[in-house]
Amino acid sequence: MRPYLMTRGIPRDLDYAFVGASPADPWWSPGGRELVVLEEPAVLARSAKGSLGMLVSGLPSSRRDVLGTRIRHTLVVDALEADPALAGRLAATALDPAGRERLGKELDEMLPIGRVEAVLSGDADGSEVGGLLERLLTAPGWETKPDGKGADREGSWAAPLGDPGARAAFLARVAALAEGREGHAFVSHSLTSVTGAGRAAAELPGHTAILLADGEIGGVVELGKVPGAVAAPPRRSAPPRPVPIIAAGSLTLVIALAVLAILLL
Amino acid sequence: MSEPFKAAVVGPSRVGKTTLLTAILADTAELLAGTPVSVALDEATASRVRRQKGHLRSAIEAGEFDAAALGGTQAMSVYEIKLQADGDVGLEIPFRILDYPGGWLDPDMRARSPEAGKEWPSCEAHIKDSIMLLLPIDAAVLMEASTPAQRAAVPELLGLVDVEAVAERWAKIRNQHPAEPAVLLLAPLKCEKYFSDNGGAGQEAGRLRKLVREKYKEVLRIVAAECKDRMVHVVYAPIDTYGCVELMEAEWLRLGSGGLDFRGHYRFRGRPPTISVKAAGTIMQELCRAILDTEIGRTTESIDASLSAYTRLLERKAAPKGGFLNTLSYYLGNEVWENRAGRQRTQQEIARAQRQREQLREAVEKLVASPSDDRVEVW
Repeated sequence: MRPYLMTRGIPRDLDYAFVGASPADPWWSPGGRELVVLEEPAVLARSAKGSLGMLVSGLPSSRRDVLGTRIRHTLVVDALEADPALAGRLAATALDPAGRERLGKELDEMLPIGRVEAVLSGDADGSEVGGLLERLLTAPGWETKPDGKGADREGSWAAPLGDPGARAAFLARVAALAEGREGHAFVSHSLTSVTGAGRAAAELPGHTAILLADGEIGGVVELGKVPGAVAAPPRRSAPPRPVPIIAAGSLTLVIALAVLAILLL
Repeated sequence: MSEPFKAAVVGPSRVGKTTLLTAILADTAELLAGTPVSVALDEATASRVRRQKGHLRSAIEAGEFDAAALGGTQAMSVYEIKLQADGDVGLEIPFRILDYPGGWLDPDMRARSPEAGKEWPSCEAHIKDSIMLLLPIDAAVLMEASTPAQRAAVPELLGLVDVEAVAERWAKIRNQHPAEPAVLLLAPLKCEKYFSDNGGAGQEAGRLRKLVREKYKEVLRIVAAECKDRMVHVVYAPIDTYGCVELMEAEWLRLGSGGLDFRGHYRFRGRPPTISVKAAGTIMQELCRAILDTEIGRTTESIDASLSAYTRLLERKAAPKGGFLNTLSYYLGNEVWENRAGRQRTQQEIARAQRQREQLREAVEKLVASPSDDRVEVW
């Protein structure tokens, strides 16, 4: 696994950035699209070409920036396919408010603010951060364990984040991704409708499971891969076509003219 | 849909860019009240605005304004906003506003962020294509610096070096496109304390104007120097994004590096506090002013072209094909009825599209013609 941490320092100019090494590819924003809102508590798992990556955002730190705003950590773990159980623990922790607080606190303790600021300001290289993160994630104590009771659903689907059944299915989907099934599973704070979720799913490879933190969705909804198939607008019915008054007579006249033409020839 | 008109927001982190966007939308909706045109947002923008409003509503309910509750932007965001004629024809004027983490202005920061490294070229392309460069300014930082050390910290806190670099790039490109509009809008935010025209008792509008002129003198000089072959419309618009929030205490914090940072402590004014956005509509007004001729012309041409092509096609279809048997079959069969019904339907659609186009034009003209806020100046 290759874990990375994005956080910020207290001064205004030490804005959110990865501490030490950065992932080579920001796969969580394909084509610049905002799949997850990093400022919000979210989780994203992506399985592609045999590789599993996860992102957990909005992990609360006990630190505050210069304006007094609570700092949030974002954890990115690449090459997680070798440890599918860790993927499950990360997802379960991300969906559990107490688990998020716990993991945020562990990250605070792992990397003191002085060290964060030294790396972000360029005074230190932060080469030790990856190792520290790996040690933290493989040690017990921070995680919420998935109960493993949920069953994955077929295809792409969206559901409200508040639905316990959907959360269990989401964890089952993350487990399937960790086992090599291609696709995405994420919590969204920017999508609010079935149409929007369908469009997002259609634009991503493989099947997609989306938990919507906000919006109009009432329960689990299956999403087609074609945007139009998700919520096709009702077709406007064509106005009734008038039956031509002379339609019946026209046939007779055509036959008569045809007979006349034959006779003349 | 036609290509959106672009605007770029360039300012340091934590200046209040997302709050500004919410205020722009609220004020524009007010300016468009009573017209058949409304402001429409894409799903992600609508969701961001809703979250912002939710935070503010909670604060109002609690009776305590906590600026710290509003977190900064961590990733690039593109806001899609449309002025849309109500109805089903789908006439609209689309705008795309780019907001990105203030830290991305710093090349060192970009080098440390893969997302910034990857997205910065598209950010830059957007900035270069933007007809408006919007510079939000933290008015409290400018106005509350009283000691030499505090004043020395102001350029850094306003990110002036980076803002100047971006303004230079923008102006250079604008100069190469003299036929396109170019608006530079300086927007001091968190101004509630310094004005007396929106529920406050401040009398410092003049000092704020003077300070903005002073600190942004170099930006204005660069833009003028780069745009030798064209006019740039420079607008000064001090904005109240809340109207009911006032700075109570300015705190200057000594950083470990020896520099200073600023933290404002705010409180609601009025019981219960009422949101009263001021001058934020100027931004949409100026965008519409810039594009009025171009866009209305573009929409008109496009509708006229498609409608006349459609009408020609229908006229051809309406006439019977040559030849006796063809003519006979045309009049005696269903085709004549289908065409007549089709023509009637199309005529109705044409009329509806034209009506909505006129409504859109009138609403945009009304928006542009609405008297500018008294605070707003053209420099």
